[in-house]
Amino acid sequence: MGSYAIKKSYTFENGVQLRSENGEIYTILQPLGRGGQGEVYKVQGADGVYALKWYHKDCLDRIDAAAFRKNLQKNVKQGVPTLSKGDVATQFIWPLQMIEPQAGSFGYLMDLFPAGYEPFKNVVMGLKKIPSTGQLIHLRWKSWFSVVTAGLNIVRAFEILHSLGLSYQDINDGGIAVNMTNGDVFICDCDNVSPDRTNLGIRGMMTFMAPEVVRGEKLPDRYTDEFSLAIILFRLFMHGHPLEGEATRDIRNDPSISDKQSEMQIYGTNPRYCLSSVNNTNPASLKYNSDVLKFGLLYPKELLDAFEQVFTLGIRENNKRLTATEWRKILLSVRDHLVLVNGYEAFFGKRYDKELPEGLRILKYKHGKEVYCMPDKILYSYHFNEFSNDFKTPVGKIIPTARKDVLGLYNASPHTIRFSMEGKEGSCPPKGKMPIMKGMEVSIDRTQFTVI
Amino acid sequence: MADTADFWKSMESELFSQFGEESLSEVVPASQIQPKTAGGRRILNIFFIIDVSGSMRGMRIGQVNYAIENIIKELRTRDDLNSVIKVAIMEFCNEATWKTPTPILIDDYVFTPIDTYPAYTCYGKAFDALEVKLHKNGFMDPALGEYFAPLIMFVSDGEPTDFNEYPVALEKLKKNKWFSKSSKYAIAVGEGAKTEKVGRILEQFTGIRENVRYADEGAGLCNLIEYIAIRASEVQTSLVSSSYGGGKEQAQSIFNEVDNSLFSSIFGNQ
Repeated sequence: MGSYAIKKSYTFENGVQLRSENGEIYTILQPLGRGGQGEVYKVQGADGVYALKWYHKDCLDRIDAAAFRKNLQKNVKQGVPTLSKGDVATQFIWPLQMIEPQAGSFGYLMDLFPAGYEPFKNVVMGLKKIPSTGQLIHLRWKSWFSVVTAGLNIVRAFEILHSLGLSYQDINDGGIAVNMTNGDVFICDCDNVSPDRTNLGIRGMMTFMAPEVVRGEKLPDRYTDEFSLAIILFRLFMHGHPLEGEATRDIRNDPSISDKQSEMQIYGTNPRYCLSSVNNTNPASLKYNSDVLKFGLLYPKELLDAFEQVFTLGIRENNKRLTATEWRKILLSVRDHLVLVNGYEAFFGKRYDKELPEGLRILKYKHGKEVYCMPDKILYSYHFNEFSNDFKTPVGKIIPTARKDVLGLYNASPHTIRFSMEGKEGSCPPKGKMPIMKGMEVSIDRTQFTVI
Repeated sequence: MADTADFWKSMESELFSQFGEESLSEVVPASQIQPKTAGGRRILNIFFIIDVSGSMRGMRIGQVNYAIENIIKELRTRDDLNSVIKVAIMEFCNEATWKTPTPILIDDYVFTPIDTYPAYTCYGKAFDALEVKLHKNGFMDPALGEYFAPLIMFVSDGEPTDFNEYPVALEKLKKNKWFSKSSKYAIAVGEGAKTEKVGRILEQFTGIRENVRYADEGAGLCNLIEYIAIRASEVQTSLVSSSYGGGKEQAQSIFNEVDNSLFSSIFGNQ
């Protein structure tokens, strides 16, 4: 049998030179891929290799291309979202330069995805195809800690973006890449980023859109970003789609309705959460959504409650969706419920009671936050300062002691830790060690906790 | 003290012998515990006064919306505050309107985004509208319970356009007893507002130089509002005995030198 190949033609041949708006020349090295909006090439510039996105003319014809380009120019000028006192959303592969228009279209330049990062879709599938051989290989996370950290890196990027008054407007799994060892992420396709409640015509990808956008009642904004973000997180943690269950399968298998109509029902007019704990008419199926059911048993209840809120009440009420800031706090709590027991990671705080391992101590903060501790747990800046967003800088480590019922804490922070128990007070300077014992009151920087 | 140090020293040698000797060399008193109210929950009104003039359009109002929505949700989770928190939001430009006709319990508050209008920045209208409500027949109705001194946050991105009117309104506001007792913070947003002149005007409102803060386009207004709301509400609700007119403690700011490194002052280094 003869083979048929559809030849994909790209706008530019290898070797073509393009000029940026500030006069620099970039030479096309090779095409990297194409999507609904445009094509991406690898290009050579005077100071290195970059990625170049070039829009399909027909895509620009459907929107206000002049306004879109002007907004993109503004994003290039403003640079990657940065909070002036420190945090930079380095997760975003931000537009660096505009490429001069030609033949009714234009493009922009950005950094290439660095090596060692897997496309989000592959990460969720746990599989990767080797292009040259077609062989499928399994992808494995290094740890649960890395999974939660990846979630944190994603939400922190959107937290910075949203807190600057911007919205992304097209969150989907196509533009995210993840390092499965340390949880680092990169997010590209930042070309739709606009001031919140300003939309330039892009609606997003159906399976990630908020229902009101699917129904055509609203254009994307920060609230619809928050819905899409929750879907990304659900896919990361539960390996499924929150709105797909047994009823979804019936709708898709109904020959009397078109694919378009069925998608509209599932994601737009009648979205139903597959793990809803009340009146669930679209339950995740043991046969087709087994991952979702399996992972639903694994995580702390707080995470599952958050998903339930967004995908039940939050389907209709914007206010019930979680902001990226709320997600950061929830994911930090999920990570705080993760400890090493006999060399294996385990989450605590689940829907069902689970016996606590011998020697586990809990740091209980005044507003209810709990940090489960076993030897080798690392504490980060936010553990010692309740106003810190920093979940990356280590400030302490839980260490074993000679007594099984007492843990130790190595103070890697620049602050002296003060503690007391049964009226006896003590302190632990930077680089010092202190016991972590039941009943101890601990104070550091402006934060206090009790050991239980 | 010496006995206590010996106790921990012996504990340390028992626990950490494999790590060698260090730490616990001095005994420092544990940090002070904040005083609690004697009982009963009093109302803490938090007022947000938001400039919605044309220049706030786009990213700036987006920052404000994100910040206020988050702080409302965060304060809701802090249920061990010995107070009942209520929120009221005023939008001002040519006119001033309370988005909430009455302060609303934080648990019941359903935040909807604030819009901007192509209009001027009339501080005087905001001050007048605030003064009217800082009375027992306004937002401080004694029939609803006892009150802590309110927390007032004023957010604007520019100097007032009503130069002749606002000083009169401010003078009247300053004579209001609840206003003088309240804890007042002003946040200037955006490059255009980072001037000595704006700073001085906002200082007249807050009465305390440290309480005028500056949030540029990237300064994380969200962090700043969260910090003020949480710290100031903790401070407000722990001042049990403060009387009408304000005690000495009211003149203090929650901002100290450490915070100056985290959050910009409009006046540069303070």
